[in-house]
Amino acid sequence: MEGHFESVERKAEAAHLGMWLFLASEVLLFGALFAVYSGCRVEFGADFVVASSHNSIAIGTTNTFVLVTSSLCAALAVHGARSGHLRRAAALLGVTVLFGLAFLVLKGVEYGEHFQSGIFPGSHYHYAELPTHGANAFFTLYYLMTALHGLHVTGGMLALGVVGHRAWRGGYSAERHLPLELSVLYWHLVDVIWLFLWPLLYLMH
Amino acid sequence: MERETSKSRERAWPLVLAWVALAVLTSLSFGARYLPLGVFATPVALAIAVAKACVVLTWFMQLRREATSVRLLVWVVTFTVVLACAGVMGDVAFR
Amino acid sequence: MTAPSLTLPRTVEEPPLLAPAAPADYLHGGGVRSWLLTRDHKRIAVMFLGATSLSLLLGGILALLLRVELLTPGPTIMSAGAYNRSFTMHGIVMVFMFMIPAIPTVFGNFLLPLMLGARDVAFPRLNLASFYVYLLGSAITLTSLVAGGADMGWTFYVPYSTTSPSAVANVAFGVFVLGLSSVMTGINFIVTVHTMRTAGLSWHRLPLFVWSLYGTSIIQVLATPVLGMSLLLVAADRLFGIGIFDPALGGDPLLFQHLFWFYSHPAVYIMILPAMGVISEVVCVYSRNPPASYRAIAYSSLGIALVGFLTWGHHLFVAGMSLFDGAVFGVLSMFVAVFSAIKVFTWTATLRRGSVSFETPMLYFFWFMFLFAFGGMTGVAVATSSLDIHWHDTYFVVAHFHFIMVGGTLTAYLAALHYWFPKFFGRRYNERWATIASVTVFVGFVLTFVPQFLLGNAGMPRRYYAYPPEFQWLNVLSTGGASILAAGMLLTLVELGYALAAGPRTERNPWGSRSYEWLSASPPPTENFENELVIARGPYDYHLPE
Repeated sequence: MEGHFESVERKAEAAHLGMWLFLASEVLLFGALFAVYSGCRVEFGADFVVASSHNSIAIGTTNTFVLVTSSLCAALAVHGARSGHLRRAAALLGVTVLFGLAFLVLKGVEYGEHFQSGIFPGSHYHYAELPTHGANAFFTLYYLMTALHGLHVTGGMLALGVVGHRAWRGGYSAERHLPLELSVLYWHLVDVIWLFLWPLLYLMH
Repeated sequence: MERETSKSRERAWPLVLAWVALAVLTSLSFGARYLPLGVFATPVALAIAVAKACVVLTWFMQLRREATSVRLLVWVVTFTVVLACAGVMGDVAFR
Repeated sequence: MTAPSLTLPRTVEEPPLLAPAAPADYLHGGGVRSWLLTRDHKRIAVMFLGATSLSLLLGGILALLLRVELLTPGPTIMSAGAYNRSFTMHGIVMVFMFMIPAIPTVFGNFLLPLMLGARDVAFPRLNLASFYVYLLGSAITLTSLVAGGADMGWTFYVPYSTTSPSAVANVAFGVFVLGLSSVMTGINFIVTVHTMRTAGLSWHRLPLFVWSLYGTSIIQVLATPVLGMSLLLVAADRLFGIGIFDPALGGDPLLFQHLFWFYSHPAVYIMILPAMGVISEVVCVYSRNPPASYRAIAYSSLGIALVGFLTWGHHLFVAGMSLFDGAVFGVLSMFVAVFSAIKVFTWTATLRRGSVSFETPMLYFFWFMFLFAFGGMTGVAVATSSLDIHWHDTYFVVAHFHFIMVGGTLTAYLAALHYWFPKFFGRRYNERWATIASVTVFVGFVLTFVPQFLLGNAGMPRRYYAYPPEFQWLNVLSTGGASILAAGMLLTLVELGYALAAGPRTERNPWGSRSYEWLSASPPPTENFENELVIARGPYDYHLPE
């Protein structure tokens, strides 16, 4: 089970470090978009503020609460797994996935409203109330950032679903549940990224 | 298996407290949107976001348990992202 | 590294050569299937050696076509469009399919676990996956050839790359996938260095090649995703017209250049840091001396990795960047030269009072020093924004980055290939033929690119397929140099191919190196070391008996 590692602890240490490095590269993937956002924000200042106030702050804030709570469930699942309550951990992961689903549904509702007003990314943008280049750039970035984040939410749900299923079937124990811990780490990262997207895309005033 | 068994004696309430802190900070950020903060609106919102990220990293992701290298990595990543944003902003702002 | 304690690793006694009890080495046993599905880092390294060599061959052939086209002022063998597509593919193949992966995936994969006294890298399956992801990325990139080629240059500059009618999207996506492979290797190496060191191997006993791989891996993990995202944005712009870089839609083309160079300048250090690691090993072995300062070389690798992130803006001096950012990036760029100079002086000082011998890898060390110092100094020159305005986008820049990137990486790659050839395959190459090939490569290289410095200074812009007649004699010289370089590479191929098939068998440690990879048999058995290794000395303790 330990393969070529000298001990289980070494294996866990390696897996954790590897996961954190992967998370680091994910942050930099978003970091590129944050850099573009910073540039455009300086360039278009006022247009960005006006455009952002068109985003539904109710949906954005609800989604923040949804993700934060899902993170709590995921953290409790790890806690449960460590103390040997694998069934409880699996159930908590199920709840986490449901929260993720709720997040995506709300996001879909928001996308739908935007599409109806003609807010599309890039050259397909034709929202009559805000015909500025700045608004166009803002919504393009909005779509890029939230779509990439949505993909990560989906990936996280899949990962949590798999490990949750395995935990339910008794595939882990209090001592051995490394995939569960790592998947939850990934889910927390998805949460952290949203914590920054929310103020940048919804809270400007 | 020292590493795992020592964890099992942990309690769950710090996690719930962390969630409460996150909820409070989220409400704070939401409320700050309606204050006349002017140019400070975005910095304040980002500062609250950083505080929330610290909560998630510390209690949910349990950064303290990780090796020193992992904690160093978090700093390096933060530095790199800030650097990229600052370099681009510096260029656009002074162009 | 003065710990004088005597080394007594349990494996230090010579394994009996050709004795019937010798364990099978990693090269033998199993069929094709066992190679293709192997998780042995050494076999993966050999497969990478094959794949990256093919890339080098392809990029080299394209380079020769370019040089033939430039023999005459007008059209020679191809149209302007074909020329654009050729130099684009030359750059893409050489940068993303050869120089970035070559030394880490071939020599890093093979040697890192051996140098750490480990059985394998931390994640062997991820390692194999990174090989297939590399193949996939290369295949996707090369589909652009079938689709008629891509002509945006290796830098993908918008708005041309988003409007060009050629197959840009294939290349962008292919390079994105190659980046994935790069990140996988980087994560694997960092974790390996942290968790797989054997007993007694502290950080300050790591061979310098390990330090340089570590620095490289950090850049790979942190910078590659930024390139990936910028290329995805280019591809998305072509497919859906997102217009984030398109001035017509209020976008900003300079944003792309920021993102691109945020990766691609550190990527220069992805290419050169492993090369520096090779050079550090080679100079110590062939002068039978410890490095003049172990810590100076080790820490300057990390210093380069750090400062490499602070300099990307110097590629944008004439693109319309703000003077403020220009001044900041100009100054920061100079710092890289400080760390590089620390290395150059330390290598030179290592020769002092050593007993220097001139085997082929050592020749490559000298070529490296010349090309790196020359290329580095012209680098400081072009990082000076006032001078850069004169030289930007001329052949001066082409010659500069070929000297430092290509010259540095290629000579180190060839040094590594010869130095570790006995380790890889258990055979010796022919010293005389290798020396001839090495001198030919160097002469060809210098003759190719020194005329290009002169051309650039005289004002010949890069990426043009035609030029005024007064530039012809320098272009002919450069093409002649390229032919000599190609002959040298061909000779190397033949000479090493012959050594592989029929070279004399070697003993375990033919160079008398003190580094740990030579403590295992050559070629090593599948499990690397018969017993667990315990390290009780530094990797350069030439004052101790082996």
